[in-house]
Amino acid sequence: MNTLESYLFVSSILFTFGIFGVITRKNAVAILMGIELILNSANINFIAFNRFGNFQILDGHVFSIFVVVLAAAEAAIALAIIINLFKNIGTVDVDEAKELRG
Amino acid sequence: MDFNDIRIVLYLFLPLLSFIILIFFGSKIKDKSHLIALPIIGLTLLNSLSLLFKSLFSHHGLHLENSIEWFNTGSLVISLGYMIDNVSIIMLCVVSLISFLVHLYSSEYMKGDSRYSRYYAYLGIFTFSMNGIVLSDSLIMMYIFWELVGLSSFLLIGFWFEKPNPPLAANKAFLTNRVGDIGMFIGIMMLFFSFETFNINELVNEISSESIYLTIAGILVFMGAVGKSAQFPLHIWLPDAMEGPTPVSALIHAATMVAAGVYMTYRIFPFLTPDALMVVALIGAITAFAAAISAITRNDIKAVLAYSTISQLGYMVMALGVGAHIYAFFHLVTHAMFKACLFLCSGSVIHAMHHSLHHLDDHHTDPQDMNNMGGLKDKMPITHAAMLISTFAIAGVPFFSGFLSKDGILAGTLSYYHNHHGWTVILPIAGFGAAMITAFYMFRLIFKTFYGKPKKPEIFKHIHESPFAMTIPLILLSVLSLAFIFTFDFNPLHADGWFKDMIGYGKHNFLDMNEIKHGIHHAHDQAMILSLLVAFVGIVASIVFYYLNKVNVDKVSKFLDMIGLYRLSKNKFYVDEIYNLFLYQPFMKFSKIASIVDWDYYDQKFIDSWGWITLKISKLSGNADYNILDQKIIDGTSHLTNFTSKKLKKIQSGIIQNYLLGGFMCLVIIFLLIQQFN
Repeated sequence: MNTLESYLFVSSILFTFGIFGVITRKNAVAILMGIELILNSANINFIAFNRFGNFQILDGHVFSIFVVVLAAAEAAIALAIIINLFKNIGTVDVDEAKELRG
Repeated sequence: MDFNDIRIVLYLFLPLLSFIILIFFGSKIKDKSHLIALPIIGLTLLNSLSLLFKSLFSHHGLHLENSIEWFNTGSLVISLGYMIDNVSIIMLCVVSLISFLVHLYSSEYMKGDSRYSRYYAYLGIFTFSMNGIVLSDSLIMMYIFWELVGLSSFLLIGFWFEKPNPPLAANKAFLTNRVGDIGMFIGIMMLFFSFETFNINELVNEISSESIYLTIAGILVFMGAVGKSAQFPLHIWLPDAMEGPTPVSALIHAATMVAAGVYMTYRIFPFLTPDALMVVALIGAITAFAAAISAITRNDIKAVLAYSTISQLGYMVMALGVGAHIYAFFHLVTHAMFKACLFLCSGSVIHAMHHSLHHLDDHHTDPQDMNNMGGLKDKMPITHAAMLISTFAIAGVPFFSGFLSKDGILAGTLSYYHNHHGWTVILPIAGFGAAMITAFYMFRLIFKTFYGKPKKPEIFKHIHESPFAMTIPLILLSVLSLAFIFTFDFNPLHADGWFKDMIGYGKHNFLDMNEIKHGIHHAHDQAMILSLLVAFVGIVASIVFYYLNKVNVDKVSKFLDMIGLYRLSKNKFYVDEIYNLFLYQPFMKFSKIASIVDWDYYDQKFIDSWGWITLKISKLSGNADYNILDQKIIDGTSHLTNFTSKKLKKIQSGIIQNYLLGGFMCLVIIFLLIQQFN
């Protein structure tokens, strides 16, 4: 259980779930949640590589903290967008928001 | 440039000045035009008269010559210059005197005409060009002015161009003159190429031997005179030229321009070969006789005078042909006086008739038809007297100028016959015959116009004598028709005097002028008796026919008609008809054929077939362009683009997750590929 592969395996599963969620979910909030999953899978990777990569400094940790901060900002903006979306089209179903269709 | 040069230049430029002023400022001057033109022509007249007196009182007469180079093309040097001798001085006097009188006369005759100033302008350019002919020292310069008088004649004949006939008459005159002028030009060039000069005096000096070439050249140059002086067969334009205003007829078509041909032939006379002179004499004789016969049956007063002019010009030409060139020039001058007088008198009558008709509001009666006149003697005494005097002159009655000159010409023809015998007998016959007929038809004119009962009393009632501006020229010209003026000798049968002394017999390159002089002198008595006789017969016949009305004219004409004579005269020897038949009709036929070939075949078939082919080709090309290039290739590209974009736009669904899926799949593929190729 103390090998790099096991961490990567977990993060891969998380990433796959995240992508799956982002692509299949119709609800904008659920998509946001999927994005969070993806970000966190990346965080796991950062930290795992830092731990097993013989790095003297804590670069991976710093990056993951950045990602968390970014995720918080992103969640705030994304929620604002969702609220605006709801205000404009009366739903948070992303399939309904296809103004850009060619 | 000395005084004489300036003086000669003035001859040319005074009338030209009048022309320039009136043509450019005429619209402002209008009815005052004669106030400009008259003094200018008066100055020209004074100039001529002073020259004449200077010449009269100098022993050898004047002889002035000067020339300047006009242009130079290496070996060819053309110069412009003047040559003045006694003949040209007299000619200048005649031209400027009659021009002056006609200017004066016209101020009344043309009064109120809408183109009054232009009329005077044309008279100015005519006088200018006529002086140019007289002054020229070379044939080429003479030819230039020759064409200029042709132009002014054309302008003045067609002066009333809003009427139907004058423009036609002007064209006829111009085109007929063209025929003669082409001959003249060829003749001048023939002389130039063999003698390398245009100068008349140099030509006279250089030509020394007779040749057929010279004969042909001489006859060709004479052709110019045939056209301009209305000799048979180119005389047809002159009767039509009477469509112009009557003073113009007096100036141009009686006194001066038509005499220019005689003047020119007089100038080249010394080097005309005897053969050429024979042709000249024959043409003159035919013209004199035939025109006199044609004049008998004219009813238009001006037409009688027109044919009479042709006949008298024929006399002059005949005189040149028989070598009596001194009498030709003498007759030119006397004829200028009495014929101008006759024309101005007829103008006076026409003027009166016109006013009377205008008064009656009658626009259909012809004011020139003698059948509408009669008995005008008492109403127009001055005109009648002047016309009677000039008729005496033209008929060859002693005491009048025409007698002297005509007598000399007839003596010349008789002498010519004595020297040559044979067929030349027709020359005196034509001469005396024409003299008799002239006396006859001129008195016919007088009797029909001025005597007898008025044929139209209502017109007669309103006839008045013309105003002074018109009668003064008549009086002056009739005085100048007296024999005394030309001889200063009270013997009416004696032609010697200042005039003959001034001209002299001169010399001829091939003929012995002394012999001719003696011949004429010898034939003189015989000719005088005969000419008095024929004039007497003619006048008496006329009195019997038209004054006493003893003979029914209709019966006589019917009788003559049986042998075809009357009809011949009435139809002017069918010359116009012959031209119509042999020149005009074939030409029209030829034009018609040419037009058919050109239009129906060349244009319609050939040219239009090109059009048809072009049409077909362009249809094909249009088809290719539109249906293939445009529709298929150009539109095809856009159709393809359209089709592709229609297909491609489905990708752009607007559903964000699809994009993401696509992006993710691509990423996966890229990773797989990178893994593959590592």
